[in-house]
Amino acid sequence: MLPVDGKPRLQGGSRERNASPGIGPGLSRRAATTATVVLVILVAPFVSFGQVKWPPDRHVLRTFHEEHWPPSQQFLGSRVCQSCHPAVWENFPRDPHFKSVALENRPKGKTGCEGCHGPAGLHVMDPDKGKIVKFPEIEPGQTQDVCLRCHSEDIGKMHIRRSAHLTGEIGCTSCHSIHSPLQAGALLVVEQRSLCYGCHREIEARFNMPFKHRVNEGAMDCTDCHNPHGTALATWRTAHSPRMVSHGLGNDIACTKCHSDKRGPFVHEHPPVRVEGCQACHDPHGSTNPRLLNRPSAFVLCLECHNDVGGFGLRADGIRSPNPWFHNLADPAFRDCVLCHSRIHGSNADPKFRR
Amino acid sequence: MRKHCVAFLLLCPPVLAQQPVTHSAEFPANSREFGGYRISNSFEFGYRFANVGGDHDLYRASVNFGDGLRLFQGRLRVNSLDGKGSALDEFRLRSSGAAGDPYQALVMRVEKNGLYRYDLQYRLVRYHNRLPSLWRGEHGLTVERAMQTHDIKIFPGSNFEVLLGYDRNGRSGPGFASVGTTDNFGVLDARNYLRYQDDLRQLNNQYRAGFTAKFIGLALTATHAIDLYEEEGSQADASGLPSSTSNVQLVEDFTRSQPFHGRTSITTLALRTRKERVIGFNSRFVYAGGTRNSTLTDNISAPGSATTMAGYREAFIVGDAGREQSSGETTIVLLPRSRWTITNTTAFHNTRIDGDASLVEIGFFRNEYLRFSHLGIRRISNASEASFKALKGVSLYGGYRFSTKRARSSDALRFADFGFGRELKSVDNKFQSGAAGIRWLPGSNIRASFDFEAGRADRPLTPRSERRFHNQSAQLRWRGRDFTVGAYFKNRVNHNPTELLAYSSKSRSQGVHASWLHPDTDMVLDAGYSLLNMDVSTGILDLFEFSGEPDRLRSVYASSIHNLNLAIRATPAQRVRLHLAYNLAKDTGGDDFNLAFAERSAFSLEGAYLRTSLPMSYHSPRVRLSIAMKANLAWNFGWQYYGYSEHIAGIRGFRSHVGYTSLTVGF
Repeated sequence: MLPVDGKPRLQGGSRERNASPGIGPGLSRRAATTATVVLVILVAPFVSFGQVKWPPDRHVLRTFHEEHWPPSQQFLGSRVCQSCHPAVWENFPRDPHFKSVALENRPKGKTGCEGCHGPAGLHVMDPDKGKIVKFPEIEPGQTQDVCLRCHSEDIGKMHIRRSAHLTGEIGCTSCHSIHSPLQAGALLVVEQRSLCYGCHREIEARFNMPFKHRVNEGAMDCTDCHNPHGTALATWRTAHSPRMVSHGLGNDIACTKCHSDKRGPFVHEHPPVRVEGCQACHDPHGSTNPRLLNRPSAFVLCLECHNDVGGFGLRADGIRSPNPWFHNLADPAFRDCVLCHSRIHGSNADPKFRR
Repeated sequence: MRKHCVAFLLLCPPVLAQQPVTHSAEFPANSREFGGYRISNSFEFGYRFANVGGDHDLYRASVNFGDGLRLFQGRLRVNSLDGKGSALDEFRLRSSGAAGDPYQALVMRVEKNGLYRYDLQYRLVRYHNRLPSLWRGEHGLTVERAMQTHDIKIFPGSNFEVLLGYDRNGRSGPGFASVGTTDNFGVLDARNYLRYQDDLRQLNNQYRAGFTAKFIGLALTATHAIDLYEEEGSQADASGLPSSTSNVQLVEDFTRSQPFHGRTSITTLALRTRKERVIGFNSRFVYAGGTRNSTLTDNISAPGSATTMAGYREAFIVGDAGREQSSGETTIVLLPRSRWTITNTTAFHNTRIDGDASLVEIGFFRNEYLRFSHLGIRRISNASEASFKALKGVSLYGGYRFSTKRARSSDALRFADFGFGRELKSVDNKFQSGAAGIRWLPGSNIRASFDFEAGRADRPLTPRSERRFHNQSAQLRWRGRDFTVGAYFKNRVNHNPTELLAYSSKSRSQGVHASWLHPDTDMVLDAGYSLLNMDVSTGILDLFEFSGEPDRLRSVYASSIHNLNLAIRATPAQRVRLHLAYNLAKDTGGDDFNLAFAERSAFSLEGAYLRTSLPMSYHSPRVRLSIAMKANLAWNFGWQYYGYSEHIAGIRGFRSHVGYTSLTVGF
């Protein structure tokens, strides 16, 4: 294999040296490529394919730079691919995956074109039969096996195996386009919100409400609150839902990443904020009600819990209702509870959140 | 044909989601090479206008686009051709809404391969915090929230990465506040709570440092963060202000100072396997210990009331709160066969919040007391999930989830020589649920999935919490050569019976969508319809004109939101692109409510029923026209109408025409 700059260099480990045809330092790039192709074509018919099925099974896909491949499946280097796929190579320097090619510090099975598509030896010899990993032709689970060979070590993808996307057979290439992304960086097929809306139509409907977080306006992205690659169990609600909401740095609910004034701690906490999370009162995507509240009237929202019904609350003896002598709902002044109980998310001065 | 299909798949979703008045998703994408780098750049600038009628405050709370020159969007990419640039290999900048827009975002990355990577995110959101009429007739102020995140990774991709970070999150704007006075008889009546608008300034600074080390097939990430928070709220010189409600004494003077500072220290450890062969695992532990310290000083003078003999009261409150939070989880991944993926996660979470506040109040009486409160939450959770590929194109999913949660609380009040308190008491809530699903992918063009989940919780915290619930969802999508058709259905039912009244909520959402691409003209049609239903039945106390023992009311909230999206994108001439779209969100409520009592809050009282609904409509047609004058220069014109109205007594709403004209320049 030649490095990308065409200059000769020492090969990597012993396995790489054995897999590579070995090119002398005096050969030009074109000559080296030609020699490699000719050598593979001459040698390959005499080599058995072994027990490798096609498409390869999961264990092969996860380890295809190692011993599972027959000797004929040699790594030829990305320069060989360039000769037939110049359009793909032209844009490859802008791809994050190009770093491994430039740095030349990865084993052959984890760099360049063959890092994802597998060794190209048979493919070069017989391109019609496509003896290489073609992602449109393999199942989503197989795609993620290939990608996770490298990306499973990312801290943001720790929980990807139990994410709703992977358990739902949404493979990596459903959202990511390696060679022709519309949004650079994360290599997304299209702009992020459009991508998410493509499946989550009911969430798109929520963002079309009059009161919403400003995702459509470009000030936020879905990934500000969600991790599409899976998250840890929530520390709020029943711990199992919602499943794809990311945490703040201190394992707080994602909302407090921006709304840090609600994070506390407070001398007097409003328990639902800590136990149930913000969704107890708010619809985070969008609502027909101001402040993304779940109900159009604040007193209805509050009194659904504050009604003295036994069995609920921190002491299982009911959540205290307003003093009926004190709060006459016939007076409009008492229908907006937070007008007086203004520090409803928590207060340091008043257990009733009035200051 | 393949290229044709790929283009179709890329084009369809943006058509529906595109927001013409913000910016265009289309940019001249040409690039040029210079000095070993490939550079591409495009930006869109122009003038936006807005003509608003109706409730301006509501418009500013919802849409908030205004007049002025704007840099709608900018993009700059610089990439080294060989990945071996001298100082950097990649520079990427993407901004939207700069130069005065209420919604601004900037994302930047600078990277030298293998040496460093710097990421910056900056967001600014400005909106009107609409408040009801308050003490002095305030109606709210503009809230501005600006957030920036800086992350530096040194030696990215190596076996030892150094992580540094800084966050700054600031908010300024109004907040609710209230202050209480007594009436002529010295009684602190609710009607004597004066609501006013506090001008708050909140600032959060976070500093992070850590590393990721990779060794013997494992990766360990350790970070430590210091989070500093400060909040200043003050109300000064509020003399001679009239009250807005009856039976409230004239306040002659009122000042309040409320500084609020805090510090949180956060340590995170994450260990994970780097390769998943047959088994993999990851584990994470987080500890966060934080404190908040606050003081509050009130001075109020209300002559004529019995606040004091001289109509004066002063209060001084000092509070300290501390929270220790530790949590962690371990996930084991088993990949025994090609067809199986099995995961098991065990997590724990423990929070302990202790707070005390002392109050000294000098007025008609001298109050002096000390409050203490404690809230502890401990949760242990486990989730086991398995996916099985039964046949080619058919996979099954199943899971069982369990968690136990204990909430403990106590509080105490010491007043002069008397002490009151509630002892430490805990409530346990056990939750378990099962889930199953099937995914059917008979080909690359058709996809169908069905999911079901049912769960039980024995002692939830609130009547609104999940108790006995079940969810179903189904999704179908068919992608043809020139079209996409899809439908979805989701149903969620939660029963949480109480002593006298059964709380239950049902929410259903269903929708269909279709896209079609004309193969010759590249015209794209996209249409979608969603119906979001929610019915909630619960009980509240009857506090209307209370006399004697309060009765209970059955409270019903109903919402039926119809959402319609239509979009067309066409190229009527060689250099002309036209985008037409229409969006409608309409809540018809759940019934033909007699909203006789309706004011701004949409509820009606009918016998033993309190019915709540908010019939409204919000529709927004829009158009965008782009004409390519040269290869790298385009002129754009966009217009969008926002019409919002609430169909209750005393119709409230706004209507606005927002448009812009701009140039898109690229090279």
